[in-house]
Amino acid sequence: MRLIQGNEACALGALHAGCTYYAGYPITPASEIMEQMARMLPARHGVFVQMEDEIAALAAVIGASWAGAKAMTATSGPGFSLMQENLGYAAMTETPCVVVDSQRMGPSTGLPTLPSQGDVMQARWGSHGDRPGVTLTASSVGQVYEVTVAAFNISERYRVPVVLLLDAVVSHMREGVELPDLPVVTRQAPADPAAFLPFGGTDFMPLGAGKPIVVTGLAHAASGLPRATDGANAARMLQRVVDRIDAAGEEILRTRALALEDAEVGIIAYGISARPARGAVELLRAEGIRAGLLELETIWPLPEQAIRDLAARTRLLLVPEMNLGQLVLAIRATVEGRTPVLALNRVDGQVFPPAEIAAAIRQAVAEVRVPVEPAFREVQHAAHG
Amino acid sequence: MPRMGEELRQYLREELMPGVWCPGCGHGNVLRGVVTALDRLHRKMDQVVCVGGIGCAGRSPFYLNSSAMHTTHGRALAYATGLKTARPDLTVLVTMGDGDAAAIGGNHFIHACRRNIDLTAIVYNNGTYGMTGGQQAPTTPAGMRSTTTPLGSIEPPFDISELARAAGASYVARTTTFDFEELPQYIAEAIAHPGFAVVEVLTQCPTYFGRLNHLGDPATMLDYERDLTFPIEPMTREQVAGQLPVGRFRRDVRPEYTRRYAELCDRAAAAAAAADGATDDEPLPRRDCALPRDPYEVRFSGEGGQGVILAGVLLADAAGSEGRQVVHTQSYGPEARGGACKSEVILSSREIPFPEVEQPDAVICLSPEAMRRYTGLRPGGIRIVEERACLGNTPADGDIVLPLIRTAVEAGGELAVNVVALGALAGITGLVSREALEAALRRRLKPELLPLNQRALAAGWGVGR
Repeated sequence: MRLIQGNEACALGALHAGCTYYAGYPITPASEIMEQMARMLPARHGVFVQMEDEIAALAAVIGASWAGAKAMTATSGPGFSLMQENLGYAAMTETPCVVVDSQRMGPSTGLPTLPSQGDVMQARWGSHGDRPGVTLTASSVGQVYEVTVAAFNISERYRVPVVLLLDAVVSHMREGVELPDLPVVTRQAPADPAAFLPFGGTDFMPLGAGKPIVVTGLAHAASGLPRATDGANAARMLQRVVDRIDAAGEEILRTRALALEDAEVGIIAYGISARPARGAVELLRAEGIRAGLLELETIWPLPEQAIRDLAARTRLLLVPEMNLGQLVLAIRATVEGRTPVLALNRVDGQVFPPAEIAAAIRQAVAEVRVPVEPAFREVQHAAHG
Repeated sequence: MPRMGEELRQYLREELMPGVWCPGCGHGNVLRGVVTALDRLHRKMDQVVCVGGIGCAGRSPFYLNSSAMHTTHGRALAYATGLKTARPDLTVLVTMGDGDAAAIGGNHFIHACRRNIDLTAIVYNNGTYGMTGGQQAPTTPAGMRSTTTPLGSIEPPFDISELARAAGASYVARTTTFDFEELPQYIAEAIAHPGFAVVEVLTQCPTYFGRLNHLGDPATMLDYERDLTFPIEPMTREQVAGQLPVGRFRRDVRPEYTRRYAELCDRAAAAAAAADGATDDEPLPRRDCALPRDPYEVRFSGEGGQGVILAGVLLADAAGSEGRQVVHTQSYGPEARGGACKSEVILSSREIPFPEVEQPDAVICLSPEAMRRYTGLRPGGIRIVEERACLGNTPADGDIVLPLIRTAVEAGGELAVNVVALGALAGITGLVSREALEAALRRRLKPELLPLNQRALAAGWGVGR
């Protein structure tokens, strides 16, 4: 058992996963990840570079990944905004890499030391154009470690940039944890290097390994050569990478269930908000309300089946988020009105106390007697109002 | 212009030719310089990576038969930095236009110069944005026309070579597509140079810059380049006022980044190997005595610089080492020193669902502002207040007011007030054993700070009792 900080767990998870390259730029509340890497990587003959800004940080990470390194960077909202163009480049070029965003309250400089969950939509849609988006979250220090390893594994297996959303509380929180020896995935070398097509599958060959390889953010053929005016090819290539993630299933769609077996009301939470949600489940169960929690470790792609299954057997769902209602939009679209989906939001940099979530459920249970369409609309409206 | 030799064709990716460059464009001349240089240096193309930005010049990687990274606008040097630091053995060329290098990528450009990383940056300077239709660039000479300066530019241009020199590039040369011999020579020198090398090449854009400024056909534009420039050596003609110097401006040997980094790794690995012998403390017995309340919530509060966060970390570390479930959180403002901050620990015999303190069972106040800002105490809880925190505040009934700062000063320094407070809390409540706290001090503090803090812990323990 070791007492470690969330950001330290992230760095340790990255090293366990085989990360040998870190490029970054300092920002609260993510800086400790960078400082840990600066301390730990050189002795392991890994590379640590402090870049001139976050744009350069992700650019260097992508360059290093194409040199064959498992590479990562970490930032917070303002830096994550700057990274969006290169995040799209990483998606377009199917580059394995991990980007950590420890969220702080925005917009703009906002509340730099206080937590938020405001970057949920940015993680999925912040870069222009469509792309596959894999985004993981964590609510405890132990989970930060596990999810960081998972982020690298997914990124390596599916050749996709993976975003890990932490927040100021999870990043700075310390808990006593055991660090498990988790399996590690590394990108696969091509079976036949001579016939290797850099954008034909999920196998990978770095630059400078004996075969000239072309990498471009322009739409390209499987060979890597640009096809900048061939729309049909571009559509095929985009669909190919999006389908790869959609078809992946279990390894990507990570969820945790608490007391869901007999739940009549469900809380769907992720990141730090899952912690008070756990407390709320205990409070509600103590007073006879059968509440349960579906914690989403993966928010993108949204674990749609798990959410639909839960919607089918609960009277209502509550989604507490430290933003003005982001993931709830996608959850409502998934639930398609099968059950009311209420939003509980705050943007004051404070984590929900468990009692606040419990009270929202208690009130909703009193109001939503029969989940029929008119009542559903009213409740939705009230939740927004 | 002579035909390119057959022997140089092996360096080209001819399947992508003709490419995006217009007839008469000077970029092909620059590319000829690159392949001639690679040929002279006998570089193996599978060990060469050409990284390009966005724009006409940024397309160069496609036409070289090496590995290619065609990146985002302005960022080529940052991508190349990633490649080169991860694979220092590769020859990495970076091709950029003037807008790519000096406008959108200006920050990366100066920092790459400063770092002195072994990259060869070739800046194709045609004084305009060609691909987007002839707009003003940061290099457009004052008075010249572009599609965004139809009446002539009123901005002074960047001198890219001067910029590179000032920012610390260790090799800097400027030439033109007119200078047929110098162009491949400087590029070859730059590639061979062990450090960050910049070759700025003035190149003609007959389609936009030339047409908008009535500079004539491509051949006439080469004459324009000749007349615009003044060779610093050999001096074969008189310098005319306003002419740009061309030539090799700098070739210094300075410590190169990837080599310095490799040395740093060796030092770090040696230090890690030396420290490997240090052993961990013996595990402590589980502390089975019940907590006063379970879970038990503790809040340390004070101002930045008082070690409030460390106090919480030490308590959590010590209690965790005795088998308790623990979680530590912290809250602070932007101030590294001053301001109010708090550090909170929850101790429990079981898993802790919610990590933040809601109603503390124990509160430590070390500063007046913290005493005012962080209120709330569970009924039956205890509050330990530093005597000076009462300045302007009225202690509540039941507050334990202690001379924590004075005790720290007597123990050897005010800096240790956090550990005095921690000792006092543990002495009063019995949350953790003294052995566990001492072991936590050993784990968390630099050896030179240990004696002071050990004295502070003992003194705090005494004050608390």
